[in-house]
Amino acid sequence: MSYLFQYLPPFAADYSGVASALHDLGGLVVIHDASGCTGSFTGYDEPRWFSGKSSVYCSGLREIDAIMGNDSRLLDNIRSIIEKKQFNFVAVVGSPVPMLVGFDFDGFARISEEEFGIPVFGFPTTGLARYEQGMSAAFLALARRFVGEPEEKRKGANILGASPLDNFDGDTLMRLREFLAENGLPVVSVWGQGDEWESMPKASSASINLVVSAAALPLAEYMKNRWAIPYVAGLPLGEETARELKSQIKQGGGGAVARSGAISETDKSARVFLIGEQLRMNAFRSELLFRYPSLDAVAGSFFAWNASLSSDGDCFIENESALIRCLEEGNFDVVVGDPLLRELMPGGLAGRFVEEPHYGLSARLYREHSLSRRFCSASFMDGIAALALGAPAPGGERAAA
Amino acid sequence: MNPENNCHIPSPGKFPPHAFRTGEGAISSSAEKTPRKIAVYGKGGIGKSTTVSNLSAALARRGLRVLQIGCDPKADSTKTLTNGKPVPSVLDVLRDKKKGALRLEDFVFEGYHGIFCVEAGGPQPGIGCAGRAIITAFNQLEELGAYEKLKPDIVLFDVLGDVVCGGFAMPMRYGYADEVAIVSSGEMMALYAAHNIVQALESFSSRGYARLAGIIQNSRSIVNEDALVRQAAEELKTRVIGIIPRSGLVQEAENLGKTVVECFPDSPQAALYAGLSRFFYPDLLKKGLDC
Repeated sequence: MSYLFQYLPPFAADYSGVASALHDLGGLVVIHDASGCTGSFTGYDEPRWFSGKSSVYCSGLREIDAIMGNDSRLLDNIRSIIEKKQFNFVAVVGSPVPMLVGFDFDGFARISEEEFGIPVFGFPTTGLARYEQGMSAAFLALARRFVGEPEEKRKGANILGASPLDNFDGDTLMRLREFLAENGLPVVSVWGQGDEWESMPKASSASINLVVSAAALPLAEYMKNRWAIPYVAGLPLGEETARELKSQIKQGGGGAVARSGAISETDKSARVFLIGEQLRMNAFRSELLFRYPSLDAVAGSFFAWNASLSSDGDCFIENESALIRCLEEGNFDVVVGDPLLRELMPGGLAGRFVEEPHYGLSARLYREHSLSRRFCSASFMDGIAALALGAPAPGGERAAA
Repeated sequence: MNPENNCHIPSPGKFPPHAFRTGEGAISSSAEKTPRKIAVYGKGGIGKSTTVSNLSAALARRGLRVLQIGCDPKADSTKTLTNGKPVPSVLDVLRDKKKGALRLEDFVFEGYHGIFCVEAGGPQPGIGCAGRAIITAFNQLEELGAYEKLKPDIVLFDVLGDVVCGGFAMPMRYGYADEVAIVSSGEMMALYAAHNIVQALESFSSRGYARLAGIIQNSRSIVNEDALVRQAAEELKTRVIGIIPRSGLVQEAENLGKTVVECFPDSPQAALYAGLSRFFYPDLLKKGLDC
């Protein structure tokens, strides 16, 4: 029963992660389901669905086809679509029913590729895993299949994992591009959103990777092992994070680097719990502690988690009850997280909860929040400090000192 | 021994006028009664379909209305009741026809002595979901009112092998079979499968599943076979319902696409099936008396 969620809705699932990762790449994405999973992706999980162009289809799986293992209907449906329009690839994405009947995704991809003459991927997603797991699988599949060997002279950087499900929007992407340009790194490719299909094969020619969400770490590791491309993991959302990342880039990128607190635990005056995507919360912590050094901040996430990127006290949140336990025992003064988490706050913390929507958790319920403009802004951090410390110093503690 | 010359030749797909009962003027005294429902399980290849089909034939010869439902994707349970001719399964029909256009006659076929033959059917080996196929076939039979329209006195479910998943447990669930009979020889693997089936029944006992009727010994002529099966039955806290010796007549009849009961009705083997039929449907019950 530990996975029973009483307060939170189901999170965006793995099939949505795959479809989202492939969204801008000109492929035909077919979610193999009756319609509900495709509906979740198009109606809730993918913010670009209503504004962008992407070919995501539902296979219209019927009970009798699932039972009888009738794959030819799916093959016929795909054929009828690709006869009318050109696609760079086809991706067949799984859902719970194909999982239960043991649909052979690899085998199906092989026979359809032979028949259609374009690359076909089979993703055995189940709907039981979280979106970032699907995203990681899609990134890896693309890299293994389409990224060619590097050019002799390596130059620039790839941005890995800039998914809208992890709140990356146009403004944030612009900031990332600016940051790389400031460091003499033209962008080679962006993984997660906003890039052309043609950029993907060139990704191995980058001299460094900037990993901006934990979901892209497996891809960064793969590129490091395969083409010896080093990576730095972090988000240059403010002055401090930009400085940290710049220093890491100068050192040639050593992979994941955990950030330790500037002053000792005992000197901390108030404790903040940051709940959200791991790298985003790490970045926010860096900025917050730079501005308010007397604060203590720990990060937690329901989603992709990498121990090497965590600091003392950080935690992967396994389920809803684990979060409730953590909130009760954590002795926090302020909690920052998706508005839906407010329901879980114990009495004393309910009034000390700061909303920071996470698209992968609450989908478009709070899409009117302009995340990039607000998040990491001075006023946002001052608001948190005000709740945690009482009256904050104008411009932060550091400025006051 | 010669096969009976005037074997009934069934016409799959065609119902004679008397096939559906209206309730009014029904000939059986058990018209208002719910049918007895028996599910037969056992290790693959142990002779379940042979046993069930001969049992159906023996029951039918006693004037009972029998419905035999094969629960195996191979859809060959009722083959010896239809002159060896395969009949379309429920899943075959479902695949090819629109759901709203389905009729009971599409997959209920009258076989030897008016036995209603149904094959649940399912996917080819290695694909799809055979367990779910059984659930879907059962739902379809219910949706079309099979039990109400056919008004069988007894229903026999011939279930593939072991209780490997929820679908194959369907016949033993509440509302389906009242009793489970296990076909087993004295061979170790057959008795092991029997043990698994009993375990499934025990673990579901609180859900109102079928009760265990006992073991039908389908002999393989191994040494000390009767004692081995009897001992296994004792360990499983059940009984041996009947012992069917190995007989060449079974193969001879099956080669002709028939049961022993149909082909060699006067043989001792047919008499054994007749005896077994009385265990599952005693004469007293046939006369409308509780027993």
